[in-house]
Amino acid sequence: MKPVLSVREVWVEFRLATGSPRVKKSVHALRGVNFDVFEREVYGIVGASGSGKSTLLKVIMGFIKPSMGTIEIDGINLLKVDRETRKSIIKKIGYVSQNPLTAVDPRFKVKDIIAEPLKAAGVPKSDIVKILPTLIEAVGLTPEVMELLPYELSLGMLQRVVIARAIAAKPRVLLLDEPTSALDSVTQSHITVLLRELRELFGYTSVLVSHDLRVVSRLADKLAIMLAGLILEEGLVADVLNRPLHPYTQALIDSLKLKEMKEVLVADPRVCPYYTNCTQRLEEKCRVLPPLVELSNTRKVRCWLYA
Amino acid sequence: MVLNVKKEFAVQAEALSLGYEDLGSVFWAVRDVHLEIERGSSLCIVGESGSGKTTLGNAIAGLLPPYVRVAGKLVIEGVEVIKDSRVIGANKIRGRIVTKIPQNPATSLNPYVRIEQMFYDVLRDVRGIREKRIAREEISKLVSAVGLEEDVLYMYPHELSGGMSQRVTIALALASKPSIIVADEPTSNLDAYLKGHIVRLIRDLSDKFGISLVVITHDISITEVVCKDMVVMFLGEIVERGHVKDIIRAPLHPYSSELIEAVNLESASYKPKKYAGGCVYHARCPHASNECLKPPPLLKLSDGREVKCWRQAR
Repeated sequence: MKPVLSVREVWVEFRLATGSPRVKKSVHALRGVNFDVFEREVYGIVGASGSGKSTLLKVIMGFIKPSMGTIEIDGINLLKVDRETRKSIIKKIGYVSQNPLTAVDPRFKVKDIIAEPLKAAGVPKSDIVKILPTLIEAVGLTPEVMELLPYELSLGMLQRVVIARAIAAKPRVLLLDEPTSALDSVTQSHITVLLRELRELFGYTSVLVSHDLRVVSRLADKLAIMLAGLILEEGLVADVLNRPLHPYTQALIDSLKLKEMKEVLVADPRVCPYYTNCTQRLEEKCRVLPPLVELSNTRKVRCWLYA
Repeated sequence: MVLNVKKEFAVQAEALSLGYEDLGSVFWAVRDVHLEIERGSSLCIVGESGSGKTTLGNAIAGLLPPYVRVAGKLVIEGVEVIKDSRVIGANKIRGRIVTKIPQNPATSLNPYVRIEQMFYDVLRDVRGIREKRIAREEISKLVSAVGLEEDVLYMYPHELSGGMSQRVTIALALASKPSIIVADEPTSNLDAYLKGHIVRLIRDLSDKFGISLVVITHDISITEVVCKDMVVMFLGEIVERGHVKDIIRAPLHPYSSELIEAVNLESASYKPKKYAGGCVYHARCPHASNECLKPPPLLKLSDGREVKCWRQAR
């Protein structure tokens, strides 16, 4: 089986402001990320703030240019094709961003917001009018909202509109960047349930990024744990949650029960990113960055304890 | 209305309503709230966006905007803040008796000022400590109390991570030696892993310094860690109050159950909320009946438990 989306060795480097043109400092937001997403699969990525998970989605969307690596959708490398082909492929990606308020044009009515990707896909106007009500209903809104402007909706309703827009043109890949983190806990729950219902209805192929392990465990099939631009562990959701291998994964699971957890500060890019906080570290060995070891077909882990 | 000002209460509110003018009429964001918080205890105010919890928190912190409409009475540490539909004493408590830990630390720290200077300012203006040596000692104590290194003092806010700046705002709140701390969504801008850490820090410090704590949150899961008591608000009204453990074990109001379901991401009953008289939760309640068109009374049950629901009245 061929993957729908395949990300290979993606590196992203950000230049830091140093105050002098002669002093060059940079930080790597992504350090060689690899993964595949297959048809009708939801690939979840979990990590704390600053782990590079949003950068990864922005790279796939083409907002950020990686310094190295390939991104393939249905076997076509997005970074190597000409502008026109690239545009036509990007149209097939649905994107839901963190904050719905900044994701919509404040002057557009809800119906125009949702119709936009359909227009881009060349759907005739008469068909758009027919499709809109079913989309609005699928995301749990009433047809009256179609005539409203974004400021008249609550944040949760607006996030539903953004989701409707993302799935409108039946995207090949749906990218969900923290779809619930700007919302309150009740609305978070509503949106999570909605995304699960939509999956049964439309069966989307998706990459879901979140810092909330609960949301990802509800929606994803596979789970990757990220820290400092590296994937530390990857596996099926049930496997990773029930048998976490990496000490960092264990700490994340514990944090759900609001157990003590210290901030992970990554100082040296050459050592294991979890070195300072790890309770099981091997003093000498862990000062070298461990490789991502493939334990079985579905399970990978980046830790010297398993290498 | 007569309210005995009792010394043992940090916060006393009687029939307190807070509203904003909206096209000629008044929209009441908080309606008819009765609240008493004992000295040194901790209370969580839980509810979703738009439930009025932040407005109530701002009233306690003395941070109401000048155009706000008020009714009822609010007494904080013996100081009358709201009386006879007027805000009269907010400037006596603000920043001195009550300090607030803001929701978003990144936007509440002055970007042009080093962290150290912020502490000097608070110590000088609120506590009158002018001598640098004494101030410096005090700052060191505060910074180590929240678990930060002293290097932080020489940094600007943009150089700090989210967790670090939230710690700075906690230390700044402690710097003025308040009797009450209002923490407005202290964790909503942090990722899930730091939540437990910051919440525990706030609780431990308020215990240590004997400060009364008001925590405003939409996340019922953190209440168990910080607070003893809890009030649940919906559309400006308190619908349930009691000990955190009791409410989480056996919620009486259907809205409290919805909040608990939401933590497990199971609540799916999405309906827009609108208030048309009667019970505030009527439009969304799975148990709504004709009775709910009348406003339910606040029932007082044993052990300080109160609930506003017709199902419990029967």
